[in-house]
Amino acid sequence: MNQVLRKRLARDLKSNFGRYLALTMLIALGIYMIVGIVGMSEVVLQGTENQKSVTFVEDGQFSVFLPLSEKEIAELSENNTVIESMFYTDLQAADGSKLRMMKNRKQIDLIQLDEGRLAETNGECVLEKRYAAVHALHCGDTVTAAGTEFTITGIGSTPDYDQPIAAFSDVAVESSHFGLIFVTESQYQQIRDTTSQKAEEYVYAYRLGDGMTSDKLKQKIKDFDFDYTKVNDKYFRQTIDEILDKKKEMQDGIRDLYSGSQELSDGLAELENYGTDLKDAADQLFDAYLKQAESTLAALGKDITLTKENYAQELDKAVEELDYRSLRELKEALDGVKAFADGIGEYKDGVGEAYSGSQELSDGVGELKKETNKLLDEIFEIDIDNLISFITAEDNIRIAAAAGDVIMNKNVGLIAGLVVLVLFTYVISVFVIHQIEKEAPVIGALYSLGVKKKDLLLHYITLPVVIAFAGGLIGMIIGFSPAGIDTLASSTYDYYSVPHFAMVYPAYLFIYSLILPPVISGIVNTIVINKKLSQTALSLIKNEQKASSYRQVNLKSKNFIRVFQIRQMLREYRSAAAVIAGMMVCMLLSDISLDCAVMCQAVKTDNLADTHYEYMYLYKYPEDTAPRNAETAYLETLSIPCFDYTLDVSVMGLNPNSRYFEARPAKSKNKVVINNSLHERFKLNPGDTFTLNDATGDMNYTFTVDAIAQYSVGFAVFMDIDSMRELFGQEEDYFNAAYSDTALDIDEGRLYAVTTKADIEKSAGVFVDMMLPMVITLLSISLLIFCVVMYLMMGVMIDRSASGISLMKIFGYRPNEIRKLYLNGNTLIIALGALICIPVSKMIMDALYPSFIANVACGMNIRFPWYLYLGIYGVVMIGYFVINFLLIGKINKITPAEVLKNRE
Amino acid sequence: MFLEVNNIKKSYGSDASYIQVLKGVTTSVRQGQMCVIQGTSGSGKSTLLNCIGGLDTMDSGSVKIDGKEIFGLSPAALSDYRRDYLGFIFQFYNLVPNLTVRENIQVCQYLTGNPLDLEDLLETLGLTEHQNKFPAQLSGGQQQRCAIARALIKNPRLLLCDEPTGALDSKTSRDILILLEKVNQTYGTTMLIVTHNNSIKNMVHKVIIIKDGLIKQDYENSALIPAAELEDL
Ligand SMILES: Nc1ncnc2c1ncn2[C@@H]1O[C@H](COP(=O)(O)OP(=O)(O)OP(=O)(O)O)[C@@H](O)[C@H]1O
Ligand SMILES: [Mg+2]
Repeated sequence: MNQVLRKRLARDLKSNFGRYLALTMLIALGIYMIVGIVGMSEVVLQGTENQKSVTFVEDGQFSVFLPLSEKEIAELSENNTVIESMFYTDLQAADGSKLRMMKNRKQIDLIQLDEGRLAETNGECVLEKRYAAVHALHCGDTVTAAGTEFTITGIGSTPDYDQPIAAFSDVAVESSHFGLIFVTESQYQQIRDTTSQKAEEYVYAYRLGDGMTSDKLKQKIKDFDFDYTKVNDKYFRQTIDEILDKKKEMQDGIRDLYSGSQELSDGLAELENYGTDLKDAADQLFDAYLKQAESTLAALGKDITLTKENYAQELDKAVEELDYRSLRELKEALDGVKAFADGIGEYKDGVGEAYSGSQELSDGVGELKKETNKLLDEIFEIDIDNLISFITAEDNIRIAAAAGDVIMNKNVGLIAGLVVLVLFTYVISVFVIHQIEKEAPVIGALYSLGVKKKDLLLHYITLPVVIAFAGGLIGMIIGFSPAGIDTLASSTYDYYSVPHFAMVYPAYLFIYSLILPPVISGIVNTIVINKKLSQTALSLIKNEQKASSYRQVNLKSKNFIRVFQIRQMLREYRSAAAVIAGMMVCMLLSDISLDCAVMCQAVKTDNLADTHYEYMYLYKYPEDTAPRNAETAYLETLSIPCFDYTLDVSVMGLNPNSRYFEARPAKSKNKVVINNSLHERFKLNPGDTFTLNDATGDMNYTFTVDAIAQYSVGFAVFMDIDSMRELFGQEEDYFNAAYSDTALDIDEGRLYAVTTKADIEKSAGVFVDMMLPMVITLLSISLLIFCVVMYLMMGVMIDRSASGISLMKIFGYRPNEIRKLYLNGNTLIIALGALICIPVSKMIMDALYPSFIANVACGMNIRFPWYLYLGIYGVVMIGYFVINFLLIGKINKITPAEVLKNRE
Repeated sequence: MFLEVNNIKKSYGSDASYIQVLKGVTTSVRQGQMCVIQGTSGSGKSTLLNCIGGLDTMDSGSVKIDGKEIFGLSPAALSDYRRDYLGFIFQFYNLVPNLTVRENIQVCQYLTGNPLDLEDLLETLGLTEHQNKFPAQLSGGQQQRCAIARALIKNPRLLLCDEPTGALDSKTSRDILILLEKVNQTYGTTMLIVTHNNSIKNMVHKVIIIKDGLIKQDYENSALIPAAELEDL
């Protein structure tokens, strides 16, 4: 008996070969997609992770004004912390591109060579691989920079330039303009010593030792004594000097004030001394006059002691008694002297008072001086430590950037995979139900002949399980082959500077591809067959259609063709549902890629359209006065959380009536204008509030949206410049950015970055190029899946209707009439289904999409233009008609004999 | 003659599996005649009927209906020939399972610009009360009546019946035969009926007996026994 069954298997496979092939292909496609996309992400993720231990990737890096001393490095190296200098000098290559020259690495961020060896002597170099690729340079070629010719001995990458961008503010990698060159230490020194190059950047990378944290390290560096006078950078000096001048001015002022008050006090003290002398003199003079009067009185026979208090009285008495004229004159003279002495005394008291007042003033000013100095020292000391920048590996967008980028791919792949598996399950079940129904008489016969249920079950699930396994296996093989993971990873390799990662084989992908499909297929089959076998053998032999499945619907239409089509659709609802489900899944897949493409394209065109300036200058050391012909602005970078990521937001203080920005922010410290990117991504509308954090994370700024302005470059918040200066505690005319139509004459050393409109154009296009392989892969896979599902399911429909079609042929129905009866109903289903699926899937995907791009700071313009919707609809219909065309062949093959022979 | 069959030969397979089923069959049927084809199993009855019905091609020979030769017609022309001239009734009814009785009949009504009245036909065949039922809800006899109605709705010139009563009990078979008789009388439809049943030949005008791909006997009945009175059905 088993032999009979086995023979049947072979026959079944042969007669349904096309269908099994399509089913295999469907599963293979789905698995290929999962393995390809998820596997590619795993390769990059695990590859990056594995590289860490090979390259000794840094925990972070910092740059300083002055190189650290041996002693300082030793101090930082406590607890096994490793510090390595990563000094660099940007050289100009012969073609005008920028080559960042660095020394060979020793302990951190080691160079990963793709080919060749490290530079060993002067005149040799290792070139960063993206730059080498874009410039078509190979080992043995030469490259000229800073007038020096280097022979390329190796090509490779380093983990600290995974995303090889020149500055952190760069929007995208442009290897045609920027690359790295690694030379020996002596070569590096020679170029620095013998050629005139830009200032050297003193960057150190670190790997933390036991118990160390980045924060602790940072504090240590800040705590080092720092002699800023040794800093060479002209603009740094200028800025520092300006600051110090101000400090000095203030200190001088205070000192002047203090010494002034001291002088005043001293003067008054002197005056007071003079007053005392004067008073003493006046008193002596008075006393002399009194003596004179006493002796005069004594001569007149009157012995009276005269004092200051009694002289007037005594003398008056004596004048009356003695009537001596000269006595009167004497008294008058005494009165005069007394008045003089009294006046002197009063004056003296006044001076004394002023003196003590001035003494107090002087003390106060002294105190003021002391306090002010202390304050000034505090203020001016804080900013002047050696540290320019400090960034942990985690926050460094150059490090592990490729890995960060593919996380989204992995998530998309897994979700898409899940959805596709569900679709498989459904398609397989429809397929199996059909197969079993067709076979019902055979099953019944075998069953009644005594074949065990177990054997039958085994027989009927063998093929679907084997097919599912084969499909999974093929999909997995293609997925892991160069056509899968490698192809999909090429966009990563073409953009990021990463070594060619070793292939990885995550266990869960094997489960996904080798175990899930056959298991799903087996389970679905078992359920369906079990249900079938629970019928009696007789009812199976008779293959009774359950009348109930047709009974419900009573059609009133007079149009026979329409009625027939509706009956056909009702009968084939399972297949129709599978087609619609397949359409939905494929729409979702296409929407991911189309959203992505539309968004990247929008970023490209909008960024350009929204850039009204030709030049943007960001200052490292701002000037006092605005350059001529430029519009200034004040820029701060804050951040906004987005899912698990933190994204940068530029806060821009704009002058009223900005020429280059549409935003017209009000004079307010919390009412701001946001750009459309923020509006799109965070669904922020006027009246809403949102919070931004500063880099250290210890300051929060909450703003209220006042209006939305079109400006698609990253995330931006626009404020009135004065309000912003006030909010961030800047001086009245502070600015750190300048925009203009023409190039400005600003010394480069003063600048942090210069961005031209051309730069923006170039970098905006990068994403379109980068996403293209993924977009095309997903689009083609989804179209293929759609077509295969449609082919399979519509094939099942036709198969189930074979005897009906055969009958129609016997009756003399013409081919176009048969098509009308059996296929045109499908046209309606597809046409209507697409009409519903397209917007619904778009809505679902739009809701999911923000989480897919959580790590990218850009707007989310994923509105499809009308012609894209039309295009999708067109492709669906074309796909349908192609499949329809193929199926017409199938219908044509059905002969009248089908009916005549079918019933034995 | 309405139907003229001339020396048709039909074989299947090649080499080892070669089998000559019809070895030169010649016969004719007049318009309005009911004709029974009899023979042992495997003698080629169905093959002959299929050749006449344009469902199978013959190797050689000629089949003329109303003077129209169908040998050598293209499949499309054969299809139109069936559409314009023929009605079919099968042993296993072959109704479309997801259509109601009425709709099943409409399948063939659609094919002609000049159909019989559907309500009349339903009434004649006793299907009026069943017209909105699906085949699975009908008995075998009712299903065959539906199949007959479907074949008759376009008032075909020639009705081909391959064992129309083969799956029915004798009582129901008789009903069906009475019906066919009535149709023949009412519409004058020419009929070819393949059957195993020996007594049916007594109710028809002409009998053809086939053996091994050749006509063994070919005669016309002088007196007909009405179907209602047939014995041993
Ligand atoms: N498609 C075919 N291929 C090969 N041989 C066939 C084919 N159709 C019929 N035959 C053979 O032709 C011969 C006649 O078959 P046919 O169906 O005409 O017999 P029949 O007289 O109708 O028999 P029954 O009374 O059993 O229906 C048989 O031997 C059969 O095996
Ligand atoms: Mg037969």
